[in-house]
Amino acid sequence: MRSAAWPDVRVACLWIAQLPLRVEILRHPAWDGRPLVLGGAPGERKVVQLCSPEAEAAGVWPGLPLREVVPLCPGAIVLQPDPVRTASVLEAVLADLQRVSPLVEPGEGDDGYFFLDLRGLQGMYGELAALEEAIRAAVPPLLRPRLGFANGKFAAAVAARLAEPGLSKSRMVPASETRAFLAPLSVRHLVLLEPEALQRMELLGVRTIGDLAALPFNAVQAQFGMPGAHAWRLAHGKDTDPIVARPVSASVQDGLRFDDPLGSIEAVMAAIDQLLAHTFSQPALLGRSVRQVRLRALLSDGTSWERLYTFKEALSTRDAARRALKSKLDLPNGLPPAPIEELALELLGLGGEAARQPGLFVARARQLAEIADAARQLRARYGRVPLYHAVEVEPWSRIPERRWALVTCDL
Amino acid sequence: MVTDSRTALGAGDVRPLIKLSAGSRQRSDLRPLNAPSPLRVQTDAQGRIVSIWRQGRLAPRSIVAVQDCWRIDDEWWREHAVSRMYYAIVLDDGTLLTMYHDLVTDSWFEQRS
Repeated sequence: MRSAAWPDVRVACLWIAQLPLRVEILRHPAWDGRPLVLGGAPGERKVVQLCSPEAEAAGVWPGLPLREVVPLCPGAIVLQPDPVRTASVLEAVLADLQRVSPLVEPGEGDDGYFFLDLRGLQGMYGELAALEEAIRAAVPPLLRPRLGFANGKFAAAVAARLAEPGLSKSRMVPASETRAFLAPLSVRHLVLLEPEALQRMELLGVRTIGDLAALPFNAVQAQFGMPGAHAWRLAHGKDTDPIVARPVSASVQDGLRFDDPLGSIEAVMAAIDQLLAHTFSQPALLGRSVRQVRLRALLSDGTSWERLYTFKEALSTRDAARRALKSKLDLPNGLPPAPIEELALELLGLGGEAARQPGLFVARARQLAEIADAARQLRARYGRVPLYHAVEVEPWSRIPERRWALVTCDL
Repeated sequence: MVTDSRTALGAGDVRPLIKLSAGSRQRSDLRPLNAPSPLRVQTDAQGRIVSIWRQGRLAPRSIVAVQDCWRIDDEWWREHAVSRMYYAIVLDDGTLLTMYHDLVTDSWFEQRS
């Protein structure tokens, strides 16, 4: 796919810098260009987590105690983290980008990266400019996304970081120019390396990616191990990391909005009961069980709250799910720190009814008797007992199959 | 695409790897966990592995990345030495898999570690 209209690039990287702040600007467009500061969540350290360039220009920096922000920057707008809104914006952007390319990999957490696989898209878009246009249309301009094109994920991410914000001018790095593009850049772009490794690299005089590429592979691998070897390959423009789309997991969800925000456990449980009644009656859950429940809430103080609960036992009834959730919410700090205005419940980890697991250690003696009875039946039917214990045999062995063995149960 | 002419070994051809001490249980009472299962590999003209066919699967899967490789040489003092080249690979459906090339028998296996 090499032509003037479609340079030799395999990956597009879209990066939304300072995503939590841009999400707030998306909600309040008038805040664009004003000094914004993101503080810690309730219960966390009261320091600046993230600040906009305008706040930085006034002397605010990440790690600064929040009480020092207003004296330094009287016009600063101090915000609390809003993971639910940030996640919903990320989800929306991901869904829109998946209409541009079928293979989109979101970055980790809320780092704001998205990688699009461009292979095979030339037939659809014809020119790369048309693809750029489609990406531009998929992302709200207020998020100020940056776009980079390259032949691998690493170079595309670096290109996006160096691109002008706002998609008006993307950064293009064709395969043949990757090494020259990376060479003058600081080794600090190699975020796959630990900060200590980067510091040691700089102490050794390796300041640019080009310096790293000039070293012998063996020397780099000896000094910095596997990550160093990977970094050396990236420095040479050899990036074969595939783009791996996030697996789609089936879930059932529902939500409620309240005119009077809910503050007490009783009110919250009543709302959860209603949500469970609705979700468990949906056809997708018929004859199935649930392993995880995610609760998301928008709170009356303008912040949001999110919890993911994973249960030891698969839950296949509304009552079982209710009891399990109540036991979690009854814990200290189980409830959100402010009254709830909106509550969403999502059931995940859907499995078959047969996936229910009764507790193994309850009524142990009775269970052993039942197992012994089952063993007798199996022996009568098959002439042997196909029940086993897993035992350690050679845990120190370098050969995986020698470490553990299955031993026939003596019942 | 060249299909590797080395056919997969049957499960019974994998050498027993659990050693029994004298007077211990009968061999049939000890079954190795994570025992390797045979694989068929396909190579390209340069001899590089491009796809694998796992036991019980309907079709081969192509390899999109090799994340790691390492070699184990062990028990060279015994009659049956162990010499394996392991590969941690990513398949085109995103599956992560550990496989090895048995350098003694020139055959390929999948292994859960």
